[in-house]
Amino acid sequence: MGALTLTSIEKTYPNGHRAVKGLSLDIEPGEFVVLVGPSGCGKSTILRSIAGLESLTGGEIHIGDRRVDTEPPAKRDIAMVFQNYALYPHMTVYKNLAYGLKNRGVEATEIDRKVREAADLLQINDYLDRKPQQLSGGQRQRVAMGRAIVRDPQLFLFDEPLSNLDAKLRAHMRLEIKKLQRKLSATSIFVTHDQVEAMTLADRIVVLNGGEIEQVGTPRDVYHRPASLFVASFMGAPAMNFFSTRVDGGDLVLTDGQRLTLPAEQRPALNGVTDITLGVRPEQIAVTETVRDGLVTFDVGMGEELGVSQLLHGQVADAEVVLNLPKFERHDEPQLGLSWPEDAWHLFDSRSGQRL
Amino acid sequence: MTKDHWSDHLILIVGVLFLLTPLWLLFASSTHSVDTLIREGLQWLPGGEGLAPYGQALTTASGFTDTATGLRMLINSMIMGVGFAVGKIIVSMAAAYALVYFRFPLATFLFWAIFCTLLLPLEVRIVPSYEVVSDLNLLNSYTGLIVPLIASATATFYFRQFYKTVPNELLEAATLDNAGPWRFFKDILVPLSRTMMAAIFIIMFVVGWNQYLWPLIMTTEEGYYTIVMGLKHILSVVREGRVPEYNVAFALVILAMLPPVAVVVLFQRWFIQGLVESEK
Repeated sequence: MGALTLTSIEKTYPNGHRAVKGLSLDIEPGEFVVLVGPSGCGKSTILRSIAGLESLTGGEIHIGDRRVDTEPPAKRDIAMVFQNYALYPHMTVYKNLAYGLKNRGVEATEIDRKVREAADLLQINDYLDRKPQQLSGGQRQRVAMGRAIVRDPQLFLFDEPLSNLDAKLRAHMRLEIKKLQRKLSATSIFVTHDQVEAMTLADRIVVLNGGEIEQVGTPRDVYHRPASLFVASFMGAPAMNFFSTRVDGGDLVLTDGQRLTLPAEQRPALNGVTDITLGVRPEQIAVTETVRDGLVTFDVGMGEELGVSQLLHGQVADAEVVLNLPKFERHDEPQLGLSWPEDAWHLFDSRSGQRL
Repeated sequence: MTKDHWSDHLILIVGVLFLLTPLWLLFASSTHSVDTLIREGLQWLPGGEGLAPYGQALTTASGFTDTATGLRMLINSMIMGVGFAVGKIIVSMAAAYALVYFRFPLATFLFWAIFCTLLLPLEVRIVPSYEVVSDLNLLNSYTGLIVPLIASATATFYFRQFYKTVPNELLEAATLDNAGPWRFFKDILVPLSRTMMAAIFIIMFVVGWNQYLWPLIMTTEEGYYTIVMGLKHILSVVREGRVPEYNVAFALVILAMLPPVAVVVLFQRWFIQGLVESEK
């Protein structure tokens, strides 16, 4: 039995909107799972249903071997870190941390021990007597996590906790959360729309779209073997390039008639499908200054300097294409030749959007 | 910011004089003897009686019995003002809490029903209110003075608007922290509402202190007279052919004004402090 089991959970709002459509998921003890997806994909609804802040319209939630979806939030033994921290503004940091314990009838000496322990762990000892408004964003974030940690719950829920921080602090706190999670080996579910957070934090990523799971897998899996067009386009920045092609013998034919020879080991995967969307990551494409046979012709457009590399925008067969080139000296060529290695081909069925 | 101009100050000074001159006239006149006042009219400069009329105003009863001294009436008014303000805050906070945080049928309708009572001031319902209080045997009691007046649409409205600005995540965090509805109200909403409470206390204390019609109708025993209605009685001896003690009356007027002024001055500091360091 996993730490958390979702069994075909459903959430339909009174207005008829189906936010979660029969979703099942098993989470192992100590695992860090990130739910990621665009807004409206149901990720927050799932998290809030686990917390008990929303009620399900179908399915079951088990924490360990205990069914919790019928229990009130406070009885589920979970703790949540909110997007806006949701610290009690009139209480000191100490009281913020202690409040949940106090309300559970924990003894004052025990509360004091736990609060100080959590404060040590998060290095917020010096702020215990301050009120939240006297703290910086990063410090508030720590207090919000402290409030979860003191309770020593079976499950931590994070609802986009980093979205209010500036970029530098976000990267820093991201690392802290990960370290902390490893240290406490706390089973955690983290919701975000930021794919960088998802990639860096997760043991397993759950990519959601329209209330359903698109793919569950390790960050590497999800990045290198996206299960669908949606996952391929959502994970990775800049996003994967897509070409609509038609199968002709062993070749893929682009809309402007250019032919690409499919690597031999990819051929069995086609399985009779004729309309193929070919995906290639921007950083896996190499350029050649001369346009010749066997290379894809690329009409050069705008360039963007990133420092570590350069983004080159342009078109292949009327489709927008982005290249991410590490060491590229720009000249004034109107066209370039493109090629990519055999492991860079991602083939999707254009109709179903599924990986072949 | 444009630079101050002398005309700005002129306007302010004129305003201050407009408001304070009558008060000064009252104060200066209250320190003269009745004879001087009757012969020469209102006085601009303090006179020889000093603060003696104030002592008299506080200790002398003006009615048929000896109970309605100035001090007694001030205490009654204080009870009325504080009871009125505190009662209104408690009732309207509870009403607003129910309206904002509990989903029950007709909540919106009920809110607007409460709001519509703004159109029905005490004067409109004074006969039925009197009837109810009289049937409950509450005439000539502090309960009767205060309770019929403590429902407040205005305060309910203010608290409702305030609660709506409290982030919902606080409620959710409290729910996860095992705080039920009562704990959430007591531990989180009430402390967050402190500045609102101070603001409403200022307004409502002054309104309660200045109540005239209700105590006038409600109280027949002089022991329950309030200062605002008592002011009238002190001059009503004119009809009895005696010379009214104008200086004592003026002193009582000044005394009647002090507590509301004190409340405003005192609470305004909290109020402004609260506005500056907003806690939400």
